[in-house]
This record gives sequence, C-alpha cells and structure tokens, in this order.
Amino acid sequence: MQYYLPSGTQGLKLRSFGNETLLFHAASGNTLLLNPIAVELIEILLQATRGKETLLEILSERLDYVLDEDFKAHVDSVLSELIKQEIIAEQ
Amino acid sequence: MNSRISDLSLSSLSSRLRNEGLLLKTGPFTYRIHSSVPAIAEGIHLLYGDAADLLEVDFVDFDIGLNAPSLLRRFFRPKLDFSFDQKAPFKPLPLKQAYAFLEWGMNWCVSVHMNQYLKLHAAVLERNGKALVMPAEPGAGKSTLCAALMLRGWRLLSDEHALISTQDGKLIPVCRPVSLKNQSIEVIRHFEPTAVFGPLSEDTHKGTVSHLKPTKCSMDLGDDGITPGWLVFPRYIPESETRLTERIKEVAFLKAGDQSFNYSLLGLTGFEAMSRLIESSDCYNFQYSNLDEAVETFERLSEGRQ
Repeated sequence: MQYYLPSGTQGLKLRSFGNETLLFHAASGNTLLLNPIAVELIEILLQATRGKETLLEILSERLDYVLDEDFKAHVDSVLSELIKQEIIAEQ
Repeated sequence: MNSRISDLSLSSLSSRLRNEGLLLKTGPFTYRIHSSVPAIAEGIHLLYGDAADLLEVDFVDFDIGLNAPSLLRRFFRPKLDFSFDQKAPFKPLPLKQAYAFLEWGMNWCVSVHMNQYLKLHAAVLERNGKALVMPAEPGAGKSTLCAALMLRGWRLLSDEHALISTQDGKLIPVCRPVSLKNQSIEVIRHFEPTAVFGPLSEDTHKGTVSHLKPTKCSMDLGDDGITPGWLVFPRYIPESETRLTERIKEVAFLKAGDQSFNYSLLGLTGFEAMSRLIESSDCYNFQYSNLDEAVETFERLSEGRQ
C-alpha cells in the first residue's frame, strides 16, 4: 500500500506562525490545524509517494520516537483522519 | 473646502432622498439612497453630517431605497421595504425601525458583495498608524467597546466589517455609525454624555437599536489602507476582571475565519490574506466589564506598554 497526496504540491499550503501548523486544502477549501505527526506526514509525502513502513521509519527518525506499537497505532489514526479529509490517499 | 452633508438643510436632504437620490460615500463604496421616510432623512442628516455631499460620481456601487411597499402600508400598520437595484431582498419591517433598517441594509450590501476583500465581522479602529481588528460573534460586546475607544480618540474604520485588501493586507476604512443595542445605548450615553445618537428603533429582532455618530476625525482621515497591528477577540463578561491574554496565532487564524463572510469563498486568496493579517498582528483574547479599564488597556497596548 502506497500513500500519496492527491492534491499534489500545489493544492496544499502549510503555514506556521511559530506555534502550530495550519494546512489549507484547496480541493475542499478547508483550513485545518494539524498536529505534529500530521505535519510530518504531509511534508514527507510532499517529497514522494511512500509505503507505510517507510513512512513510519522516516517519522520515527524525524520526531525521535521509538517505533513501537503505540506509535504505529497513533500514526494509523492520524493517517485515517487525513484520508477521511481526502488530504492523503492510498493506492 | 468640499461641502458636507451637514451643510444641507434637512429639507434639502429630504428632497434629494425623495427625488434624484442621495449619494453617500463610505470608504470605497458609494450608495445612492432613495427614501421618502422622514426618519431616514433625519438620521442621515445627524449621523452622516461629516460625510461629503456628492452631486455626481462616476459609479454607484449600491442603489438602495426605503419606502412603503404599497399605499395601504403607508397608513395601516405602516411598513417599509428595503430595495436593492429595485429588488426587495427582505420582508418589510415596521416604519418605526426605519433607520436601523437602512443601516442593516447597507451592511448587507457589503456583506454579500465586494468579494475583492477578505471580510470579517469585526470592529476596526486605528491608533498610531496601526489597525486594531476585533472580530466577534453578536452579543460579545464588540460595538460597545468599539464606541468607547472611538469616543476616547481612536479612529473608527468600521464597527461591522473588517475589509482586508487581498493585494497588500491593509484594512480599508468604511466609516459608518456604530450600532448599539439595548443596555449598551445607556452605557455609552453615560460613558460619554456628548455622544450623538440617531433615532431609536424599538422592538427590532435585536431589541432597541440606536446608532452612534462617528467622530469627525474618523470621517476625515481618508480612504488609505491601514496596516494591521492587533487582532483582539473581545468578550464582555459582567463583573469580570479586565484581562488581555495572548492567543496562539494559528488558533486566532481559525477563530477569525469563523467570523468571516467570505473566507471559504476566496479559497487560497482568503488563506493568504488571513495569513498576512495574522503575521502582522499581535493576537489576544480580551475580557472586560469596565469600559474605562478596557480603554486604558488598549491605550497601553497601542503604546507598546502591554
């Protein structure tokens, strides 16, 4: 299973003013406040389509988290939410 | 010196309203107003006295009228229609609410049109060259606070609409009377006994409404955009302490978006314009119950002493 951003790089805008990060999703017109994992997921997928294992490895390295079951479950729930919002898609 | 509406006699103004229409420019917008209702003429004469008396313009943005919908309605439970480009977008309202109906209609014109700006439901004032933007839901005490600040020397840009240029992010002045409701009318009369109020409109869906005349300096300082400096979300809480607390900018962004008339409609342009507003502004929540303390807090804020 591969994950990618259906809107591409043009359809998403990330903006931070120093504390949190906002995402503008052009396809829906929605603006969302993202948690740090969601920000990292989108930034990773802005560079290339990734499989789940690669995503988890890059994430745990970037965020300095242990790649354990809790972490995987948390990433899964963030991924599911972003898929529901049609920001990330599976192929 | 250009003539002002206050230079017209009330009868000349009434005649203009009944016949060719009165041209009224507020910020970048020009209204042509037709009405045969005496309360409309009296209210405009009193509250827009410092506005320019225009005899002709190149373009009218909003052609509006307030008149009885039928001959019968002039005499039997008299009511008024608001017309925009000869269409009636609202149900008629009682004659005794005439002046409030005019101001609401003028607000509506801006709220549903003019999407070249990012528009927030917010009061906007200026001090030391920077704009204070106060978005709020109805009933939060925005207009009362706005009136108090204006009466203590802040320049009023708008009590109702923050118009944000999508080109340079500046706030566009659209200075019009401040709408006050119910107890706020007496609060402001007590706060500043020389404040000038227009006609009382009673039993409206908002209760009793009256409009406060803008200060002369607010009307006189031109149409140039003002750089945003502060984004403050006010809330009147009875008997509360005066408290200004910093707000996370990203959360302020979303909260301001909730108070926008057209953020979603503008798409990426709205996101960029809102981003500029947030970037340029210090963001706060503000709770108050005492107007003198509130004004003092904003004075300190404008002087960088907060």
